Amino acid sequence: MEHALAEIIHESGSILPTILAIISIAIPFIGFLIIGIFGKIAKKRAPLLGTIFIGISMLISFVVLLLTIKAGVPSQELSFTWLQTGNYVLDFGFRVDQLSAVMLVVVTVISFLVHLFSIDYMHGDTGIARYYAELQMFTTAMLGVVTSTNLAQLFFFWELVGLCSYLLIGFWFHKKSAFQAAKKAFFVTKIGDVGLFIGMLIIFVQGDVNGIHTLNLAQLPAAVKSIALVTPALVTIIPLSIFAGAVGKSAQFPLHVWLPNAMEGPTPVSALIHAATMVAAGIFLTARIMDLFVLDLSGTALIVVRLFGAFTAFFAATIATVQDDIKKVLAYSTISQLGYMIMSLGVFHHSHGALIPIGYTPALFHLMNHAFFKANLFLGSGSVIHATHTQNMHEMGGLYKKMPITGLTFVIASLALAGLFPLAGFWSKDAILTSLANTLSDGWVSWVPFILALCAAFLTPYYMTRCVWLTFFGKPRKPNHAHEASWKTTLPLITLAVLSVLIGFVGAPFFGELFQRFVFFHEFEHEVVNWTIIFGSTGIIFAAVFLGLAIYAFGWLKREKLIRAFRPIYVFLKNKWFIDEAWTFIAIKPLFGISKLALWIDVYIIDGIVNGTAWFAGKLGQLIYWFDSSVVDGLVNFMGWITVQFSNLVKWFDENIVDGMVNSLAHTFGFFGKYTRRMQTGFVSNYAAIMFVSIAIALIVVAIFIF
Amino acid sequence: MTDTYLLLILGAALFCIGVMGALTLRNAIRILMCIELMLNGANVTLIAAASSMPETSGVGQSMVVFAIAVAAAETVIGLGAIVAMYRAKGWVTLEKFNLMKW
Amino acid sequence: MTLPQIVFLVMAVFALVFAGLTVTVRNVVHSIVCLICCLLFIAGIYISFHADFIAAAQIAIYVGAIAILILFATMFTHDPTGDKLSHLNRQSILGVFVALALFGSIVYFFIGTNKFDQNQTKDSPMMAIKPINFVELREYNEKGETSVKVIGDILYGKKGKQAGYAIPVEMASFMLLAAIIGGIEMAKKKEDEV
Repeated sequence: MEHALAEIIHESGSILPTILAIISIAIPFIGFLIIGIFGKIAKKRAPLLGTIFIGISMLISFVVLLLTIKAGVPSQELSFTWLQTGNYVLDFGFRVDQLSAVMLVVVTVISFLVHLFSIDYMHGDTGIARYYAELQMFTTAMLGVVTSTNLAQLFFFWELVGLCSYLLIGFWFHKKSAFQAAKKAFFVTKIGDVGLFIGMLIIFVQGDVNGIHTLNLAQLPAAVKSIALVTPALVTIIPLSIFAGAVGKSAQFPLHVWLPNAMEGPTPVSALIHAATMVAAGIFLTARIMDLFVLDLSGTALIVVRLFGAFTAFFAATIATVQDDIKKVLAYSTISQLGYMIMSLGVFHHSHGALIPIGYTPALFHLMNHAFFKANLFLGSGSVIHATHTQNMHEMGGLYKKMPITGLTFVIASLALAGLFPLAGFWSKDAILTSLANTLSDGWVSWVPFILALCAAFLTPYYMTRCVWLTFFGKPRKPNHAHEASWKTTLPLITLAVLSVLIGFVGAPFFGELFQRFVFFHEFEHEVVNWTIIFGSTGIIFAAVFLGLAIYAFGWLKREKLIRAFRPIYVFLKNKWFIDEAWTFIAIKPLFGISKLALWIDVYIIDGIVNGTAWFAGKLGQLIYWFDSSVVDGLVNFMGWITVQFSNLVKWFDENIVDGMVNSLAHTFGFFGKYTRRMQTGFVSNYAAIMFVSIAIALIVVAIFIF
Repeated sequence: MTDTYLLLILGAALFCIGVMGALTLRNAIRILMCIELMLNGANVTLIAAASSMPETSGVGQSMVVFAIAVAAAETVIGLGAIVAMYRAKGWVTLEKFNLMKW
Repeated sequence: MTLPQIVFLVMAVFALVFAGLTVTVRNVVHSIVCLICCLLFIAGIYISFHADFIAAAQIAIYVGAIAILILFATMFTHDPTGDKLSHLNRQSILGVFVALALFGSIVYFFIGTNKFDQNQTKDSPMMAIKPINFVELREYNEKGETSVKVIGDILYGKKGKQAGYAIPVEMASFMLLAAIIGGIEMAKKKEDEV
């Protein structure tokens, strides 16, 4: 068995992982269909069914990962030609390379844990079948994104992911805030998707690889190179426009505004989609087209990426410090961490005339770690919300005693998020900071992100401490009846907490750097340990935690006094840097204005033309009507009059002459009858008299004429 | 104007008197009597014819025998009818029996 | 004008008179009596013309049976309400004229067409009647048979030129029987009558 397996996998690129990946994508899709069609009937079974399906898919992903680890090379592609017109070809296919394998496992594991958690969390909800169907669909779409071979196919699955996100955010669609949040998510990410689509179009139309226009991921660099020969400027613009899609999907500034509102959806949904997987799609996309970024030898594209990420990381962390809703804290924290990852993707070295993105692997490593501990934090907050029926942290408190498992896992995950040694977040965050520090010599384009990242690194533990303390410790600010939920709730939490502790070691420098050896950009980069960064970040963490505790736990600094002291800053942060208002002013109001203008044009000008034509047609109709009624009908009426006169004549003839003849005949008979009937007197003697008279006459006649 | 002629005229006169009575009288019995007169007139004519041929006078008289028999039978029937009429109506005035009037 | 002729004429006149009276008298019983007298005189005429059996039959049957029967019927059907009215109906005048017309036509037919003495080209029934007088009427039967015997021979006889009318005699008796039965049936009282 081992020998056979080895034979299979030691070919360069076996087809088996691809097939298994396709199966693991198909299983949730089948689950979606089954639950979607029969969900109304089998409301009780849908959760279990969905969980089992995802469980199977998860196990298959493990197998795929093992196969890929053993093979060490990407699997063979399985594809077919999707659309072809002349030289323009789009194919559709699946391929598992190292990054895809890792993503497969991450997505399915978290999806499985979310399905399990939702069995209790969504128990009793009338739309539970729809929920599970949408979760399945989402998993299918996300797995499709990470295994696509063609950019158009990736876009197809990308949009599908966005659709499922819309459906799940607006799951409780009766609530106005929920469906508005869903719409906001969809539209904002759509703005980013415009950029993605433009980038795709430029590549498809202009890119020329041996005469064929294609969007196959493997051939994208060649296509862009051919474009660069014609228009050098495009080599920067194309990756950046595709990156715009990532900005939207991964909630970077300025398209981050949908993510806080997306907390209207159920908490497990937030855990799955908005912490671990969907938002990671943007990171994934940027990583996938890293080949295009490095074509821009000036590094402009990557610098832009870096600055976006750094700014997002900083400003989101600032907003998170003043949020009262526990889920909003976690949302902004997610934005901030994604900013870290984007920033890291933009870190590069110049070397031998080429760009080497040294931040590629740390970013993806952080992606994997963040997925686990952020999901843990969200699920923990879900457990807390389920128990206390409120989302406002100022109303919670003292939950640690009542919900120890949730509390412990939440604390562990927040420490992992903060980046405390030796938890997972420490290794990945420090990797990012180290790679950034290694490029400090490049000037301000490296210093600014570095400073921003350090500030974010300070703020992250602070706001997490605040969050943890307000939620779990101290006296209960409001009386509640919190209690730990069933094993379906606590098992995912425990699992994720364990992962948050242990997963970091796959990428740790002293433990073999397994991750770095697996997922890399063209060649493995050995990471140099920077002790300054290690100790410095740990110190920052302790300082931030201390500050948080000082304000909230020990009460040395009063919160109200701080707010009064820093009132302008507080207001600025509390209103989320007024970005929503800015968007309203920049985009929404002009849009409404344009639509009002269009309405005016339609109503007055176009409808005016239509009504004018109708009026003219009406007048024409009236003219024809006049003509018809007076001339034509006059003719017809005259003919009718003649016919009437003629028939009167005939009637006169019939009445007087014909009937006259008949009547006169009858009158004649009547006249004669009147007299002849008098013969019948009924008197026998009369009859006898007539008889004798006739005898007499007869005798005379006979006597005369015969004798 | 031989005797035979006179007898013939007598017969005709009897007959015509009987006709006159049958046509003018109101009582049904009297009309029946006039019918008897008419029959007698016919009998007289027969006797006149028989007597004018003495060789075969027996034939004529035989006919008269039959005629008398028939007259008797017919009188019986007529009277029966008149009695039935009287029973039905209470009178035998022939003028009143005019249901067949138009 | 021999005596038989005068006797005949007187009896004829009386017969006619009584016949006229039968028609014209007001009372019914009177008219029956007149009828009887008329019949008697007619019987006398029969005798004068050598039809003696017929005369006897006339008196026996006509007067003795039929007239009496009519008299009985008159008793049965007496209608007191008609006594005040005329015995003539409304066509009395017309009846007179009709009777006169008929008389005239019959007389003309009898007399006018009888050209017994002359040569006829056409056969008239009146040719059979030879107009003769009384003097020529005598007992011309050489065998001395009475008219009864003659009639009897004709009706019931088996030989002779005119003989064997027995079946008509039987039929006449059937007819009389039917008349009797019919008369009884018509005139009898029904069960539901009082």
